[in-house]
Amino acid sequence: MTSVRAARRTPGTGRRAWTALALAAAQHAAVDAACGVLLWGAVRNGRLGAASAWAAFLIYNLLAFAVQPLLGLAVDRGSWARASAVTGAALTAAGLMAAVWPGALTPAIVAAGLGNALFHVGGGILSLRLEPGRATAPGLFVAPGAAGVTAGILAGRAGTPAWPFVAATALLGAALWLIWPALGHATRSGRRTHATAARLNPAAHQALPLADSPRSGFAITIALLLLVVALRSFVGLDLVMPWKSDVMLLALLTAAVVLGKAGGGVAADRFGWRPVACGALVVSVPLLAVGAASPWAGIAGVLVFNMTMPVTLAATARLLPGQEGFAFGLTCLALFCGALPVLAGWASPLGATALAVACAAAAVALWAALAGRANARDRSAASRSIHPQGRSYA
Amino acid sequence: MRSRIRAFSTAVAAAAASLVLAAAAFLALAAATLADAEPPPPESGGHAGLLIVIGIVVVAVAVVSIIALRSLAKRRTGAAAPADEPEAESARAPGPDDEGAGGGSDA
Repeated sequence: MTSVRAARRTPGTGRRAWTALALAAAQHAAVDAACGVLLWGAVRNGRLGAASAWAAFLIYNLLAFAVQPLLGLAVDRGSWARASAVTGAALTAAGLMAAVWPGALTPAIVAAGLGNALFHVGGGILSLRLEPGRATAPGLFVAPGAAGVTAGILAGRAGTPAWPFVAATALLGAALWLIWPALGHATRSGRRTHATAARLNPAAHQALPLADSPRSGFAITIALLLLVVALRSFVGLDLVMPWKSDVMLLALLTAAVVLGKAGGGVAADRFGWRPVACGALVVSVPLLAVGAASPWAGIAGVLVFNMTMPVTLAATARLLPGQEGFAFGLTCLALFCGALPVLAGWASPLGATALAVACAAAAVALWAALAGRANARDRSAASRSIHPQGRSYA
Repeated sequence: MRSRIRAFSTAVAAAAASLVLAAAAFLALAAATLADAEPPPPESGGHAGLLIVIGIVVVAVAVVSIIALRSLAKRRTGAAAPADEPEAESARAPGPDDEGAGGGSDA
C-alpha cells in the first residue's frame, strides 16, 4: 500500500505536470515556427542572398543546436531551467520582432538561434524530470517541434506576418512561467527525482547495464547513444523525397514525424526500449529505401524511423542524473554533427545500400547501448507491481 | 557552500562561453552578409572559412563536453564507493564464515 501511495507521488504526476508539458510542447512548436518564419521570410524578402542565406542557416543551426551542451551545463549547475525556457522563448520572439528593422537581421538571427537553444534546454529539463527514466514525456515535448518547423517554413515562404508567431511565443512563455512553480520538486532537483524513479521502478532503472560498469562502460554507452543520434540525423536529412513539394504530402510527412516521436516514447515505455527503438530502425529501412518513389512508403518509413528519438534522449538523460540540460544538449550537438555533412553540401543523396548500412549501424549501436537485463516483460511486471491498477503515469 | 560556489562559477563560465560563441557567430554572419554582394560559387571553396570556424566551434564544445563527462563519470564512481562500504562492512562483521561475501564485486 505504501508503494502505491509513493507511486502516486512520482515526480511530475498530476494534471498540472501534464498541463505544463503540453504548454512546453506547444511552445516548442511556436519557437521553432518563429525561427522558420524569421529565416525563410528573410529569404523571401531578398534580405538574405544566395551566400548569406546558406551562412545564416548554418550559423543559426550552430547556435540552436551545437551550443546546447554549454548552455545545458550552465542551466543544470545554476538550476535555471525555468528562466532558460522562458528567456529562450522571449529571446526568439524578440529576434523575430527585431528582424523587421533594416540592419537588424544579423542580431535577430543570432538572438533566435540562442533563444531556441535556451528554450530547448529549459523545456527539455522539464520533460526529462517529469518522469525520470521514461521516454514518454521527452517524446511528447520534442514531437511538435517538427510541426513548428514546417509551419514556419511555409509561413515564411508565403510572407505571413510575424506577429501571430510573436504573440503565440510570448503568451505560451508567460503561461509556462506561471505554471512552473506549481510543479513542485519535479522540476527542482534532478538527482532527487532520479532517486525516486530508481526506487519506484528499479527494472527500468537497470536498463543500461553498460553504464553501471565504471568509467569505460559509461563512456562507451554515451558514445554509442550519440552515434545513433548523429546517424539518425544524417539519414533523416539526406533522404530525398521529391514528392515533398506537394503541400498535402508534406503535411502528412510532418504528421508522421510528430506521431513517430510522440508515439515512440509511449510505445518504448510500454513494450521496452530496445525492441521498439531497434526494431523501428530495422523496419524503417525497406520503407525509406522506396520512399523516394512511393510517398506512402516514405511517410510510413519516416514515422517508424523517428520512434527511436525519445529512447536515445531518455537513455542519455538516464546516464546523467541531475544533468538533464547537459544530456539534452549533448543529443542536440550530435544532431548537428550528423546534419553538418548535409548542410555543408558534402554528402550526396543516400542510395538504398548506404541507407541500409547506416540504419543497421545505428540499430547495432543502439542495441549495444541498451542491451539490458530489463526486457519489456521485466519492466511491465515491475510496473504492474508498482501500479496495481495498470496506471503507468505515462 | 564551496560546492555551491563551484557550481555557480561553472554555470557562469559555461554561460559566458556560450555568449562568446554567440558573438563569434554574430561576426561570422555579419561577414557573410557583407560578402553577399558577390557570392562565391560553392564549388570554389568560398565558404571554407565559415566551415572551418564552425568546425572549430563544434570541436571546442565537444572538448568541453568530454571534460564535463569525465568529471561526471569520476563523480559517479566516487559516489558509488562510499555507499557500498557499509554493505561490505556488515557482510564482513559476522565472522570468518562470511569471508569474501562482501567482496564488493557489485561495486
